[in-house]
Amino acid sequence: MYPARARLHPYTGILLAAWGTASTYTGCLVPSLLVGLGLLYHAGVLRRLLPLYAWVVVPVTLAVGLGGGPGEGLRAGAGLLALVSILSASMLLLDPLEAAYSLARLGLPLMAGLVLALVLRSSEYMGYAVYEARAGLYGRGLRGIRLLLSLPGPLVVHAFNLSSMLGEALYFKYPGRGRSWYHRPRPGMLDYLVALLAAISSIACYMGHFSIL
Amino acid sequence: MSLRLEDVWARILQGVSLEVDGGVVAILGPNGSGKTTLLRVIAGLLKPERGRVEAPSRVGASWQNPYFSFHKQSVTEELEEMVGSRERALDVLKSYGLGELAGRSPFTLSMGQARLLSILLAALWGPELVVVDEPTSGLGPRERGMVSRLISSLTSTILIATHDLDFALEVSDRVIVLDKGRIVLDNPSPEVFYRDDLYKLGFPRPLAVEIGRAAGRVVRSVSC
Repeated sequence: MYPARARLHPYTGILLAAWGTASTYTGCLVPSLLVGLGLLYHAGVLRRLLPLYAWVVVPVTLAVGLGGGPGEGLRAGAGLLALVSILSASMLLLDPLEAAYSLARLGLPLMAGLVLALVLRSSEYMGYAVYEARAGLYGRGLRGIRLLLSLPGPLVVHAFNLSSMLGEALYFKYPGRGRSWYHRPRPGMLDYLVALLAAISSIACYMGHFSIL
Repeated sequence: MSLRLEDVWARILQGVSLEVDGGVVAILGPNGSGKTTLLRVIAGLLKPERGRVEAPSRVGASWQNPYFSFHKQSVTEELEEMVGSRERALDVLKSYGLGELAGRSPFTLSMGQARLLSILLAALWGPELVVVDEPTSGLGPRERGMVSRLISSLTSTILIATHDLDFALEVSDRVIVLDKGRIVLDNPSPEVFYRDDLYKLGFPRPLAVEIGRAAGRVVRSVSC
């Protein structure tokens, strides 16, 4: 999905999500914002995700700001941005096959790992299919809510057609053979760096720095 | 209808400037030359990183995968949404020789039939400009002829991205050649097909041009 240098060990991803959530919840937003956005920038996906974040963060900031004042709105917006950036980084920087292996090692059912691996592996293609379906419907004059309501039709049909074609292709590519669907992960420099940053910023937060509450 | 692009940079496009006032314009170029990107910018689906785009607000589009344009249960319902009534939808289908498809699901059509329906859907809602991406890819000679007739019968301004020179020669009034994101040739058709500039870029000479040269006159299409 992304270059190997941008990948996180699955356990680092899980711990990063937990740390980022706890850090945001306790009001220590700056480190989780920096780590989350930094990792997404490192993976080269930040520019693509920012418009999506704007859709999530701006309405919340405005709604809370209108009710409780601008300061409250900004705090809520920053907290949400920190949370979504950390959670996106911890999900998007996983290798699906390594995640499947690690989840199985943690004792989760094999199917859970397989489903996660499938979702992560196909997320980029799903994005492409949504874009193409949107372009197709836009080209025939559908706009706004009518376009959104019409999107599931071509997407569902496409998903069925694609799964049927993939099934046939895999059968003829690997007749009578199973496929391995996990890889054993190895921690890398990025994992150590994230752990170090999280530890330093947690200590700093504990000592009263970074908090905006 | 007026379309104007000034120094447009987007993904692979590198400073494309272009003005179109009408007719059928073929955009030629090898794979990865920026044809689809250019059409996406014109259709308003892709915002350029730099430059200015003045395009009509109503741009119809048929993309490489025609099945993404469908969302109804039957071909008639798809057209009914465009033309307003079932009777008119059936008339349109009959006039393009597609009457037997009326009750079928659009998702079960062959690639050629789906392409025709997708182009019809892109053109029938009253757009000022229609962009069509690779209209002949994956089509047999019969379907190719039907697509060619359909495009020639449309009255809107049409931009076609293709690397099918025979098709471009048959339907276009003007040819724009893209290479590595830049316009390298912009000439009226069919004269451009009878000059050597196009073939110096590595395009194969269409059969109609070979026959036309041998016969000493301009030939735009060859049918067997």
